[in-house]
Amino acid sequence: MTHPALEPIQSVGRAVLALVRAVGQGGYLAAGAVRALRNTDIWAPHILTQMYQIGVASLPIALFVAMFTGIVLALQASYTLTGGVPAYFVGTLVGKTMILELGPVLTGLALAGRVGGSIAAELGTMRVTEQIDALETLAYDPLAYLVVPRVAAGLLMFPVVVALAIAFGVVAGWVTSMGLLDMGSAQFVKGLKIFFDPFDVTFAMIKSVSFGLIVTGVGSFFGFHTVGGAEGVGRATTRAVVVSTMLILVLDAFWAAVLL
Amino acid sequence: MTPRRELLVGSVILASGVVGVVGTLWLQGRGIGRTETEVHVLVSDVGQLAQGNAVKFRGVSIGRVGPIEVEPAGDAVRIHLHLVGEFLPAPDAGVVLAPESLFGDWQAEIVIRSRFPNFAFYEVPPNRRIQGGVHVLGGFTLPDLSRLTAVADEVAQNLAVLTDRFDKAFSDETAASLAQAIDNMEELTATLKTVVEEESSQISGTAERIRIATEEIASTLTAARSSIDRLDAMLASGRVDSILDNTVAITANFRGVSGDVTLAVDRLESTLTSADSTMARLSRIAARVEAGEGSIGRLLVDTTLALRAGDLLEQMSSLLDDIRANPRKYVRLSIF
Repeated sequence: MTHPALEPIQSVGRAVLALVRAVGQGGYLAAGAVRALRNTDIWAPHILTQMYQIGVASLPIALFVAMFTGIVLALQASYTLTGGVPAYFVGTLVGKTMILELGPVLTGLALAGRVGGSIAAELGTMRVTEQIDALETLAYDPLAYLVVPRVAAGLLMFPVVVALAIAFGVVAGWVTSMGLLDMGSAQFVKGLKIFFDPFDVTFAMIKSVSFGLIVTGVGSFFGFHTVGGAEGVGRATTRAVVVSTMLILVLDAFWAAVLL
Repeated sequence: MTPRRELLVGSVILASGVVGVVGTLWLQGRGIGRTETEVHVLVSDVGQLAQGNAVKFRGVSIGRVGPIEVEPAGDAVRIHLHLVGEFLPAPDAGVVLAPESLFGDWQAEIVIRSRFPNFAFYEVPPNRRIQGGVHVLGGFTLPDLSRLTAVADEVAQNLAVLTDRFDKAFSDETAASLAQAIDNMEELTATLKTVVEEESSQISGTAERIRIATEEIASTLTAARSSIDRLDAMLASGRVDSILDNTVAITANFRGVSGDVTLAVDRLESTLTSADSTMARLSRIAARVEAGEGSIGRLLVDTTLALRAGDLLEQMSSLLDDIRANPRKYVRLSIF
């Protein structure tokens, strides 16, 4: 029994140990996944299924988010850019914001909830029902079978979903500008093109790939290390979504500081 | 995994690839499957020009700015312009880099250099004007808005200094002097008012004279106008033609008279020749008279002879008087 006065210090130590343990487990998982890449006969047949689940099945929510983001951006840009600011800056603002920031980040956050939560819940359930233990008993590499296809599919499909979401969001902003604002198509396109830099697209793709890695990796990690039955699965799912969301925002700031 | 899902995954990946590539090219202003002309520009400084900015010709957007790179020698910057369609620059074409608006977007405009004689365009050496089939033009960059702002800031600072100096110069003493000057001005104004009042009567007389003169001028103008009217009428009635005919006749007469005058001048020349010889003879006679030769010469030289001649003339005069008085004394008429 610890003295009450030492309780705060004990809490700090416990948190640091948990962090170190998590980092260690994460490193172990990552190293195991990299090693499992050689077992292509195990993960390759499942990657297309995961690409469908992570990419194609996520498109409706990603496009929905992007569409309304584009609409709101156009309306708010028009509301903000008054006075002597030319109207074509609405196009500039919608394009730049969708490509550089909101397209990748909002899609990443939406997929963190849908994909990351799904992976954590699926793997967590397999863990608490000892299906993963059964795979290990059968000498079937659970990382190659469960983690690698998901992470690989996330790396491949996140840029795809983000690219389509950006395009959809820009088109939504364009249509809004013509329909709801007193703006011509040529004006919006001029603003869209005038400050466009091809690196913006590269930047968005780099971010989306990193978000794909984070969302699928964090979901796999918390699912793979789920303990405590059904309650543990729920806890793992929640943690996966929360940590993915936080890491997406941290990475967003990191890439902006490093690449821009 | 069903074939339908495989098809969906493939379609989504392909669609995103197409959207990414085509969208990027479109936003860069590059056409797919259309002709493009590349033109290079050399300038010493690009200002705020960036890749993707508009290229204009006579105000029309004809392409986009491509990559911008510093020349290997470091003495210039090379700008790649991607122009839509075929474009052959004029021999004296140049490129002006300037802000397109006040919001940081720039443009490259292809211009005729002679239209901007004050712009120091980059001089491209003749052997570098076409490189690998690509035309290389000289460019000129207008000052950035920030430079103009800096100049304006400097002007504002100078103005602040001037205001400060004015504040210092405008002390209480200056204000007192100014008040004194205003008082003096009031006095001067009063004096001027008096003078004006005194002079007003004279000015009125002058004005009256001016009025009369104006009326005279007006009447003169009226007369002139009537003369002009008559002249117009004369021109209209054809009397000028008859005057001109008379003038022609007079000219002909003058021509005849001129011929007569010429003849008279010829005669006068012969007369003058005769006069010259006569004068020569007279000169010789005069010389002989002065020398005392002949009767006249002796008369002039010998004074007694002249006196005796005078006596003789007096006697002859008295004789003639006597003959008039007593003709029978000297003339006798007898018949048979």
